[in-house]
Amino acid sequence: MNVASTDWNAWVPIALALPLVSFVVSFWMGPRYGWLVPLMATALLLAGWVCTTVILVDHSAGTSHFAVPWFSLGTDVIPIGWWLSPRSVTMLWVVYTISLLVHVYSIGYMAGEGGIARYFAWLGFFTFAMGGLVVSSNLLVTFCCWELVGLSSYRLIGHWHQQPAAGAAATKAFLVNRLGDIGLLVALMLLWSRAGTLDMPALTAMALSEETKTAVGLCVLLALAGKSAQFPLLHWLPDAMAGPTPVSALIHAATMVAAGVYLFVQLHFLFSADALAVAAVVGLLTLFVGGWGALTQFDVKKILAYSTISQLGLMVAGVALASPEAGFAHLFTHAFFKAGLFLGAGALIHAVSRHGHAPQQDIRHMGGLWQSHRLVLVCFAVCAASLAGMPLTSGFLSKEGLLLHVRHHSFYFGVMATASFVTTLYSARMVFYLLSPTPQAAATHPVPAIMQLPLFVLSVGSLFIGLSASPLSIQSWWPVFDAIESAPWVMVVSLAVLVVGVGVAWRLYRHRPTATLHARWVPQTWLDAAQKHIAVTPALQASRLTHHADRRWLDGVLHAASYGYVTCSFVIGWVDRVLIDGWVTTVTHAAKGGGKLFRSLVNGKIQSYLAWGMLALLSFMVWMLYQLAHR
Amino acid sequence: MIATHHIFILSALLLSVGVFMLLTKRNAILILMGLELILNAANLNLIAFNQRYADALAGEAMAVFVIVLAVCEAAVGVAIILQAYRHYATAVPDQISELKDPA
Amino acid sequence: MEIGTSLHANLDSLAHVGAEGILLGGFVVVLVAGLIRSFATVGMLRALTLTTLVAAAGWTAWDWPTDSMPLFAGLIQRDAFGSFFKIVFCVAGGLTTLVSANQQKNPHEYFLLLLAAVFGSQWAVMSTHWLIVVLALEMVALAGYALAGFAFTKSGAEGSLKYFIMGSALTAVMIYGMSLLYGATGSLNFSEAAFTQALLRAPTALVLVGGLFVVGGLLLKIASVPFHFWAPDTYEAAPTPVVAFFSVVPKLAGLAVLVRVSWALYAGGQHAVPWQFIIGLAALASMVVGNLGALAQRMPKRLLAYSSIAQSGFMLAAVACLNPESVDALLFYAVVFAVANFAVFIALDRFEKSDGCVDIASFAGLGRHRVGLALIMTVGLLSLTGLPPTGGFTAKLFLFTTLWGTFDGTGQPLYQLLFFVGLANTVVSLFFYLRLPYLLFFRTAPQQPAGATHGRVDWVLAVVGVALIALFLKPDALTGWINRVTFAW
Repeated sequence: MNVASTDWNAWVPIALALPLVSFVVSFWMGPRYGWLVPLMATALLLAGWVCTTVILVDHSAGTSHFAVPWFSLGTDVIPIGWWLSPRSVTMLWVVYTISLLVHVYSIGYMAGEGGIARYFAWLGFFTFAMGGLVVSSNLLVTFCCWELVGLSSYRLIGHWHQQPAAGAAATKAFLVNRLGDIGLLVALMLLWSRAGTLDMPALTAMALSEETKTAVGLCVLLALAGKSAQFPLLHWLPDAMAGPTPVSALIHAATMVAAGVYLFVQLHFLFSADALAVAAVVGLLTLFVGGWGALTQFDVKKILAYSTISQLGLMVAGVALASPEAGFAHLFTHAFFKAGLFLGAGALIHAVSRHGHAPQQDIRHMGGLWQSHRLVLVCFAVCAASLAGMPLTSGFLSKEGLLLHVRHHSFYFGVMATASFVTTLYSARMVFYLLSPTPQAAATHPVPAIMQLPLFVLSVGSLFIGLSASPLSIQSWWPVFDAIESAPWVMVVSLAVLVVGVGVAWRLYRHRPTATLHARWVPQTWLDAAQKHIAVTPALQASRLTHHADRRWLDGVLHAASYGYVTCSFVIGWVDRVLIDGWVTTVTHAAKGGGKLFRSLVNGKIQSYLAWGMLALLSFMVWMLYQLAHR
Repeated sequence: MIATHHIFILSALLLSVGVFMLLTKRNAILILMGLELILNAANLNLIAFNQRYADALAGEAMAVFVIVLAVCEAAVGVAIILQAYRHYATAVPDQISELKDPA
Repeated sequence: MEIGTSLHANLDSLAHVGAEGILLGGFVVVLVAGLIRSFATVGMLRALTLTTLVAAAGWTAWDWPTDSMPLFAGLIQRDAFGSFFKIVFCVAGGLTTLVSANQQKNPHEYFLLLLAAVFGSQWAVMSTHWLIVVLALEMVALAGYALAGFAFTKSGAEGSLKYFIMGSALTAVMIYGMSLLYGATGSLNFSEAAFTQALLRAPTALVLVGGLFVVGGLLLKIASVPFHFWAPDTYEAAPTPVVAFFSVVPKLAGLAVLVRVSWALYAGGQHAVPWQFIIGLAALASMVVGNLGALAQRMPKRLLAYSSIAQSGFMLAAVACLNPESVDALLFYAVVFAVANFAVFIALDRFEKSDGCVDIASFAGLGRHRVGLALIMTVGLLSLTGLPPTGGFTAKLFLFTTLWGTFDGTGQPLYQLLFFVGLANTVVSLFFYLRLPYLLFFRTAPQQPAGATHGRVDWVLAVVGVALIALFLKPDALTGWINRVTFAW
């Protein structure tokens, strides 16, 4: 196997080394020069970001591959190196950009907190591991980095380890991810035994049998389900919100959880049609479970977490149904607007939380900030608009790309359009609550400029500017979309969905109901609200008849939807409880019981040790003799 | 004439008695004696089988070494039992059982 | 053969056991030095022991055999497989010597026993004859029985007694098994062709019983199920450097003998008794029992004893493959296991000395005050778990690849089962391996630890820790040596 490929590019190792240096130096400087750590880490990351920008400009077209032998076992050589394609350099740049912005933001957000050096050290380490994952040309190296991002995520979720919830969430995330890792490990073993190589450029050129592709695809799917919180391994992500908010923005929204989708995009060629079909089902299920969750939450970070789950499901479904490029495009735009949403939410939490109290994250108590925090709210709203897929935003473009790809399959198209409706609904709901004029009970904190700057940059990044010459056409954006012919009706549908979604949200959430969504579906509640609404809106009062039809229509739809959702959530809850939790419980019980049994044998009496050993040997011997005699 | 298989049966019986002593005797010294029985069962085998392969003295030579080995083992064993006796004032293995797994 | 010729052959053979000669010479020197009052200090004896071990390791590396050659009329065989283990044993002995600086009680006997154990294990890995197997392993074991009680405490005596009774009982049974195999084949040399041919003609039941007795005796040395019971009790009571030594040298010596013996009994897969299945079963049971047993342990040394039982299971899984590729994986795994074990045990020893840690709970929060020590312990534990960036990951990867490859090649579901049970056990092992790092770093200490004088990282620990990382980053250094081991019978 030829592993030497000599497209050396000095920027890549430098870009990867800088965050690693930040990791080491932060730990080293921490005890004595704690105040210097944030500035130094950010400066190092800025340098790294410059390197990635150079790489991005160099490789906007064409690929390059560099590898040197890492180690060998017998005649098999495992190389280590990088594989730069327009896709991987874009992802690398995104990782570094978001990481840089999160570093800057954290200078303000983490000021006065304990363990700053540890925090910045692990941020640097995460950036290094994620960068390695993105550019690595060898799946074994990818796997190592995959583990390392999991490790840094574990450390950062549990950053506030004084809180029991943070520790438990970190452990949960870690364990669910291990389950997924087994999938990746098995996939690697399968590839190694079938293809004899784990080098991605070599694998692309290889023709594997359909069965192998199905098996490998399903194993990779398990891995990505763990990392990207896909059904049924999704319940760790909302818990992971116990970590600091900038960490949620970087790791649990923009980059690490997207690593699963990125791997899917990169290994799309290894999936058979069957495996893709399973992936599509998983993605669509996740899409709805996430959307449903986001609608029922009042904790702003939880809403965003469920929204992330839902969007990741959309990406997975998009990669499986549409094209890897379309899915990747959504990954790209999602990274910006979701990071922006998290940073914005963090700023608002910072504004309303009182010192020495638990952070205020309930959207019902976060309103009334319009006078004092105008910029933050505008940036937040822009990112939310991008999430909902408003025209003029990047989210609109990437969603358009996905919809255009599936427009010939009416079922998938319908499902995705419905999902957009749900997305719009919860995005608008969140914004309506946050923009509410209810005054705050206590004085709010100003948000420092150093936190506003990254937020502003991200919200600008969520607009169409820089992505496409025209705000409504994707053809002029990503080169791969050139081939797609535009279909104006698709845009009409998505705009209609948007308008209806915002309209429904307006009617449902304008008054910021404090009850949960379940109560909304009780018809009496709905009627009361509707009537009240009409009473205060003379314009609608005139059209009682229309309203009547409207009510019946809307009511029916909402009823059906609610029944569907309740059924779905029940089934999913059952699967979650019985299969996932049940699996965990069974294993835990079995492990405990087994451990107890084995320990009870070790009772300290030497002759019983001997007796057990002899008994085992003799009974095995008798059994073996019986077997041999009856052959 | 005693055939090889007669000795073989005797040695198997010796082994059984030895193992039985290992598992049931209430005194460490008697356990040591059980050990000797097993070793001697092996020696009997070695010597008896050597009759069948009489062109070399491999089995008998090994038996000599095993006898020496048994002496070494007994010496170390008695020393260790003595050491335990000093601390526990007993040579009953069941009563020397402070080290065990938590329940 | 005439007496004269065979005498000459034996004299010629002596030239090829230089490393053992060095160890013997060193043994005599330490023996004499201990009798001279001015020489009989810990430092002096330690230096002499260390010099001997380093010289023996150096000789073995320099005198690397390129092919296999029977010596002493077939009693032993000199080959690269044996030499590889011999270097591991010398290094392990050297590390134990280095960390035994405060062995104030009977240092003379202590270092002599250490040398004797290494000497015995050197012969064990070369042996191709039942007599040498017994003598060499008994040499290791007798030294071990004595060393187990070297804390001279009440529990030390108990641990030593348990190890002795269990060990000598199984050794006696093993010798009985050998006598049966001798009866079946007429040969005590299990590497010669005559043995294999006779084995295939012999009654299956006799071979099965004899072979099981022999394998059982070896499983005890490896601390594998069902003869693992002695390990937790003995480990808990013995001095920590001795435990580190125990968990590496006798175990790997037994494993190396098992590789040779199982190859001989396997007879190229022609024999009716499924030896892969038997060893595979022991591997499965060891993994499961070791990992589950470790879950609720409160004493760090008991926990590590169970961990070493589980690790034996992983190594036995490689032995069960019974193909030359698996030997490569086994050698790699054995070295990584040895290094990681030393890292953990040495760090544990330091913690015991500096903070008086007896149970796991007493490690809480110490990571803040002894960062380096805690870090190296963590690296060692991560390596035992098999997580990157440590050599343990690479070792597990090789092992699992080999298992899967063997499954692919033979189609036997046993290997698939070993593969998946091994993976599942790796997950289970996370729970107890990561408990110590969790306590070290995430919990706060009840009070400030007393002295900061001890508990620092010295160069021994640093080297061990760096070696573990290096084995991950550049495993070629080790695979290079392993590739020089051609395992051919």
